[in-house]
Amino acid sequence: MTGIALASVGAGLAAIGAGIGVGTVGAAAVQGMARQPEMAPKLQVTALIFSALIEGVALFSLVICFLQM
Amino acid sequence: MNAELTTTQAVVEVKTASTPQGMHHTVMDISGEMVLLTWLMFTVTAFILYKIAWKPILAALDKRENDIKASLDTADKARQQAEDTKIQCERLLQEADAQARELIEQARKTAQETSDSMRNQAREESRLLLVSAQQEIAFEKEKAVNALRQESAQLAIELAGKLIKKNLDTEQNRALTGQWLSKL
Amino acid sequence: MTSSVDIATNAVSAGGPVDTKIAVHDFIYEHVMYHIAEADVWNLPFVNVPQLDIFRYDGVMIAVGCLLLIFFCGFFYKPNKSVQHGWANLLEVFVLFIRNQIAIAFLGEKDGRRMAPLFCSFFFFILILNLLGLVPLFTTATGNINVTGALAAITLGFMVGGGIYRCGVKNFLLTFIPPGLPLPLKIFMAPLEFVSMISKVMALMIRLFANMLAGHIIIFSLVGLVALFGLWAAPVLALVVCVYFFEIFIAFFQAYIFTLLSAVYMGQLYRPEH
Repeated sequence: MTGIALASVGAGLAAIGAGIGVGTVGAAAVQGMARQPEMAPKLQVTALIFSALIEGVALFSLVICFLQM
Repeated sequence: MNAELTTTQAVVEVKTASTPQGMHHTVMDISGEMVLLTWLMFTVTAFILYKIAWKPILAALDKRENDIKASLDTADKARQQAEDTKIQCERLLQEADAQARELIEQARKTAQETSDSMRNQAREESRLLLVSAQQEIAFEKEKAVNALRQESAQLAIELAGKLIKKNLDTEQNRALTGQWLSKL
Repeated sequence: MTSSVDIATNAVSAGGPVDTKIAVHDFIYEHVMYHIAEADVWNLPFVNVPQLDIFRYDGVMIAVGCLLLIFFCGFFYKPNKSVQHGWANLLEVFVLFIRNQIAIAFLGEKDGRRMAPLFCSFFFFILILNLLGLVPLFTTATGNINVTGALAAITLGFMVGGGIYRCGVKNFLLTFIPPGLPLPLKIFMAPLEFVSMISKVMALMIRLFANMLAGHIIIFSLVGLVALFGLWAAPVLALVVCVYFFEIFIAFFQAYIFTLLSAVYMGQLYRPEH
C-alpha cells in the first residue's frame, strides 16, 4: 500500500514537471508565432518535438511508478 | 528488479478463469517472443506495403509533381507564344491599316489626276472643236460669199448680155467684169 | 463484464474497510490488466495451441492490424489510375505529408525520398495498432512495451546502420565526440553521447507505450468508478466519451510523433554537419 501511495505521488510530481515544461514550450512557441507569423509552421513542428521530448521524460517517471505499483 | 517484479505480480495477480497454468503478466513484462513477432510482422508488412502501396504512391506523386511542373511550363510557354502572336497580329494590323490608307490616298490622287486630265482634255477638245467650227464657218462663209459673188457676176453678165445683146466678147467681158468685181 | 462486476461487488462486500480499499485497487488494476496485459491466450477451439506469448491478444492484434493495413492499401489504391478517389486519396495525402514534412524535412532531399517508405510503414503500422486498440474488446498492441521496444529497436538499427552507411565507420564514431572541447572533457563526453543516443531510443519506446497505456488506464479507471459505485457514477461516462475522442487524437498524434522523432534522430546521425 505504501508503494502504491508513493507511486501515485511520484506520478503526480512527474505530471507537474511535464506540465511546467510543456507550458513553457507552448508559451514560447505562441510568442514566436505572434512575432513572426511566417515562421509558424516551422515553430509548430519544433514545439511539438520539444513537448514530446519533455513528455518522454515525464513518461519515464510514470513507467518507474508503474514498476513500483 | 526480479524480486520487485515477483512481489508486484504477487500483489496484483490476475485471477481470471481463462488463465491457464497461472501465467501472470504485468504491464512491464519483457517477452522476447513478442519482440520477434513485432519485428517479423513489421518487416513483412513494410515489405508488402512497399510493393503494393508506397512505391506506386510515391511514384505517382512524383509523376504528378513533374506533370504539374511540365504543364505549368507548357502553359507559360503557350502564354508567351500567345502574347508574341498578339503583338505580331497588332503589328500586322497596323501595317495593313497603313497600307490601306496609303492605297486609298494613292487611288484618290490617281482619280484626281485622271479627272483633271480628262477635264483638261475635254476642254481642249471642245476648244479645238470650237476653233475648227469657227474655221469651217469662216471657210463656208467665204465659199458662200465667193459662190454668191460668182453667181452674182454670172447673173450680172447674163443680165448685161441680155441688156446689151451685143456680141461683146464673152471672154473679154468676163475678164472685165472680174476686174470690176474684184475691185468691189 | 457482468461477471467482473460480480467479482468486484463480492470483493467489496466481503472485506473490511482496509480490505475493501485493497479490493477496489485490485479490481481496477485487474480490469486495466485484463485489457492491456492480460495473459489470456487466443486459442482455437479443440486445438491445444502451445502457450506462447505471440498468441496473446497483442500478438493477434499485430497480425490483424497488418492484414487490415495490407488489405486497406491493396484494395483501395489503384496504381494504374492517375486520379484516386475516396480512401486512396486520403492515403495519398498522408503519404505526401510524411514524405514532405517528415522524411525530406529532416533527412534532406536524397535520403528523405529514399527513406519515405520506411516512415510511411512506421506511421501506418503504429496508427492502425493504436486505432484497433480503441475498438471495444480489442487490445492495444502498442500498449505493450515489447512491441514499442521492437519498433524503437528498428529505429536504432536504422540510426546506426544508416549512419555507418552514410558517413563511414570512422565519421560515425566521431559524431559521438563533440567538437571544440578540451581532450579530458571529450573523453568524458563520448560515453555520455552514446548513452544519450540509447536513451533517445528508450524514450521513443516509453513514449508510445506509456501514452497508449495511460489513456486506457484513464478510461478503465473511470469506467471502474461506475462498476464500483453503481449508477450514481454514471455521468462519468460522458467524461469517458470525451477521453475516448481525445484518445483518437492521441492515436494519430503518437504515430506522428514516433515517426517524426525517428526521422529527427536518423537525420542527426545521417547529416552530422547539420
